[in-house]
Amino acid sequence: MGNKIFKYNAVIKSNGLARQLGGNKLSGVNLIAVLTRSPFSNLRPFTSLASKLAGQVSSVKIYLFYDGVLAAKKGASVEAEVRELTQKGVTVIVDGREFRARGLGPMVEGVKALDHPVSELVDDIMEENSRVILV
Amino acid sequence: MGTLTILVLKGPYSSRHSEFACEIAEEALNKGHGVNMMFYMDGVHMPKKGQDPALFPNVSEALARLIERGADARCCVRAAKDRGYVKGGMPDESGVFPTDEYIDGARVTTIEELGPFVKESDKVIALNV
Repeated sequence: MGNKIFKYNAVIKSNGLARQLGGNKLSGVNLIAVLTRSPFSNLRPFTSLASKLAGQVSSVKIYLFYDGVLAAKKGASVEAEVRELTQKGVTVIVDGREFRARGLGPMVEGVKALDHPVSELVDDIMEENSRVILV
Repeated sequence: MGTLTILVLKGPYSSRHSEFACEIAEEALNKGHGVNMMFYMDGVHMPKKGQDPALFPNVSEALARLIERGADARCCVRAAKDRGYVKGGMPDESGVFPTDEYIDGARVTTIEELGPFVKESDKVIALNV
């Protein structure tokens, strides 16, 4: 049963995230989070949890697509949280096309911009030990 | 290579999930993975024929290209019927319900088809938030 749940990368909201990802069976897991919406109402619970999980899983990688790219703007209210995640070793990748399309800049230090991050995202999704969530 | 199933629950143009689903599916096909797409709730608008968005990418054309490349695209019959895309009638021998509202290759089946999709897939992602 546990394996079946792991195989199914359910999209789950941040409440109860650790439990739904398998409780304390997190070693070896590469956690992939995809943010597609504006971060200003829903980011904090996730960043708090991602920060805690950063030391328990093999890796945490956050992709920012569409309005999710707003989280990468320097000076935004979520800047400190995003910077803290990168300082804890969380990889934050922003879709550079969407960031530029919104006229945003500069970017929070430590965030990596890619012009076609879907390619890397698909590699991460299909990687055996990855668990993917949409925030 | 593996198989990826993408569940889409939102319609095009009101959110970017349809476009995002097509981007992920296209990239997965480029990398040699198999792709299943299941459309449920407002996701069943995605294969509608004749879409002509003025300012957005045409997701049904993008989906048609994915189907041509081997993606298996299916819609929930109940959600499609609610939205007027299935007029009634019985499914054929393979369980596909008749419709002339959808692009070629998009099949109307039941949501129960999601079960086998999940079982045969290496990864499943659901675009619903």
